[in-house]
Amino acid sequence: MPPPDPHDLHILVRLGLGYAIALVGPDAGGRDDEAWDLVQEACLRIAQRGGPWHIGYLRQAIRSNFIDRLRRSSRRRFEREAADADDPGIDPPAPQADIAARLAEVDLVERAVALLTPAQREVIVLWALDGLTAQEIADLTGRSRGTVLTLLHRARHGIAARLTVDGDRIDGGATESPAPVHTQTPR
Amino acid sequence: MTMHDHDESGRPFQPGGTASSDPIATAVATAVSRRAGAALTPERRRGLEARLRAEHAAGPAAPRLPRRRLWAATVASAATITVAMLVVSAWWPGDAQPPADQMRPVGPIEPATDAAEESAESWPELLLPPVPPPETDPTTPAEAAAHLIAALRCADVDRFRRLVIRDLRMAARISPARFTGRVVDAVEPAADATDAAVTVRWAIPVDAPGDAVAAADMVLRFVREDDAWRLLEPIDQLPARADPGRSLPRSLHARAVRRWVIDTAVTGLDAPTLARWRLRISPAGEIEIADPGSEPPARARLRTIGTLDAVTWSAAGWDEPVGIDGGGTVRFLRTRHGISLALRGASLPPALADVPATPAGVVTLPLIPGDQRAVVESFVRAATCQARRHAAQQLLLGAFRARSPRDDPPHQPADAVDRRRVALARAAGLAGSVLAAGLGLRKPVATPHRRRPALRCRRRQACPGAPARLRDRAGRRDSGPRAPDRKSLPLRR
Repeated sequence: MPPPDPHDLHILVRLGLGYAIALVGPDAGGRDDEAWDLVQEACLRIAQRGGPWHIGYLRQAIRSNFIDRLRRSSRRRFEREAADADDPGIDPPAPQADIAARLAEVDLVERAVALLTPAQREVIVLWALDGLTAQEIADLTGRSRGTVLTLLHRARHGIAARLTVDGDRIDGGATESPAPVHTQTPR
Repeated sequence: MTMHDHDESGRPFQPGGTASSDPIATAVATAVSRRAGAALTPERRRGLEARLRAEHAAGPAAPRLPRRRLWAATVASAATITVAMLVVSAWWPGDAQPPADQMRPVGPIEPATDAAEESAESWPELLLPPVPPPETDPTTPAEAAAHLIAALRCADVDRFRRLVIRDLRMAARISPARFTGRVVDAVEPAADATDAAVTVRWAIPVDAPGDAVAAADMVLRFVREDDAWRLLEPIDQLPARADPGRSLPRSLHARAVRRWVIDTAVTGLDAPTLARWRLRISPAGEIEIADPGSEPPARARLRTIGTLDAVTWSAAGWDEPVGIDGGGTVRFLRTRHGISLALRGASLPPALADVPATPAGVVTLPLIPGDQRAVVESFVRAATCQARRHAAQQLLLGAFRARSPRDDPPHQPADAVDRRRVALARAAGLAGSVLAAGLGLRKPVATPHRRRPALRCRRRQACPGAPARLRDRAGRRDSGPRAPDRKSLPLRR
């Protein structure tokens, strides 16, 4: 099967790159280059096998490639590397009027995502960027659906907590309410 | 609040919303998408498209043969085969323009650690003079790649070696006398590529089994540990790669691959070939395989694994190197003591006359590390009961090795391999860790009897909630102690 035309390939690679970025972590120390290497190597493998050029196949190839690299370098990234770390990327509390504006602060959201654990990052990117359901994510990552839902829940709460200003959450929750994030729930 | 979010009905995570309508999802998608867009530069995009086009033009890769068949075919046909694929990548990292001194000589190459142990007379070529730079420095990655490919294609061994040493810094241990290969294929990057990755396939003429081993050994000397498995992929798919991304064991480093090559190269040969071979273990612990029948005489040295200190065949009263007469198998076994050889049809010295042999004539010789005297004594002790037991263990290990990990993925638990043989090995006193090493498992083997519930109390079998009676592999009830009839139990509990 020949490689797709440049337009389709661009879309495919961009989706795969988002997933690879979620795997490699925050943008520091050439991580984006590493993500690009993952995508490129996965594309080459698919080309060598003659296809299929499908986003699901590409994702799986990227993931396998990433795990291969991890094992080869004996690194352990699937740990809570950032759980206990200080949060240098969170700005000091802003006035109440700026809460709505924080939704559009992409840098802030990006830093909040980067501070998640790798597993949480992987799950929330698959859910948010690719629009996969919990079951599809579970099939892809080899986890149970319940685990995926747990990871997703914690990831969303983690992001919301890091974007909280004076007790508010970016999703519009009540200031004094400790209730969970009542937004649209993943399927 | 429970573990998951709840909707209004209290059910966790029920359908009803999509990620696209979630503010967090939208924010995350925007952030990640922006970062991906920044990472996907037009240069990278074009480079990837060019590489994919080149891959498509090259056609699908040839199907891989099972490694035994491939090695057997190698020896039988005595043809020139492609034994390795050298991936020369990252000529310089990233997309940046190479610095001006990138192509300058790096000066004399110090021998690697392993090579330093060997005498300077054996490897005089390791200390090289500074390599002169090319006439014109390449200005683009494509130029650099073309430069490399041209150098490879000219089959100038010396130049190739210098190139490899200079640019990859991984071939400091290669002996140019044993490199007689020719580059048969090279995939060049496109003219507008931003990455100078070059895939080179070079062929090594295999005219004798010794050459095959030498080629494999030479290839392994090229590689860094991290890339050993990648280089060997064209030979065959390693067992651990059968399930990519999942089962690549941590122990798959260069030594493991080297052991794999040794094992494959030796056991995959046919009887007439084996009959010509001569084996010798040097004082440095290297196994030397020589084929005097070839012209010029082929000779390969394979470094052993484990802690084999000083073992010489002559110490055991063998004046001549071991001759493998009449064909058979030679199997290298990894044991807790280092390595053992299982020989069939070997001409044994008188001191080993009492070593137990299987009906098929397989004799296992434990090679205990130590000085020569200890080796002799260990051979003499081979007649003792303990040595018999040890030999039996080795044979069992050999049986396991013959089956696994080729047939069983290494990550599978032991009970998926063969419970009965594990139990048999346990009965022979084989430690779980040794068995695990023989099986290629990472964890000590848990034997079936550890999983069985205690059968000491008969009443327990009849009590409510007791585990179901064990069944054997055929599904029949286990012939263990039978539970008494419930009515016959004493009333007092």
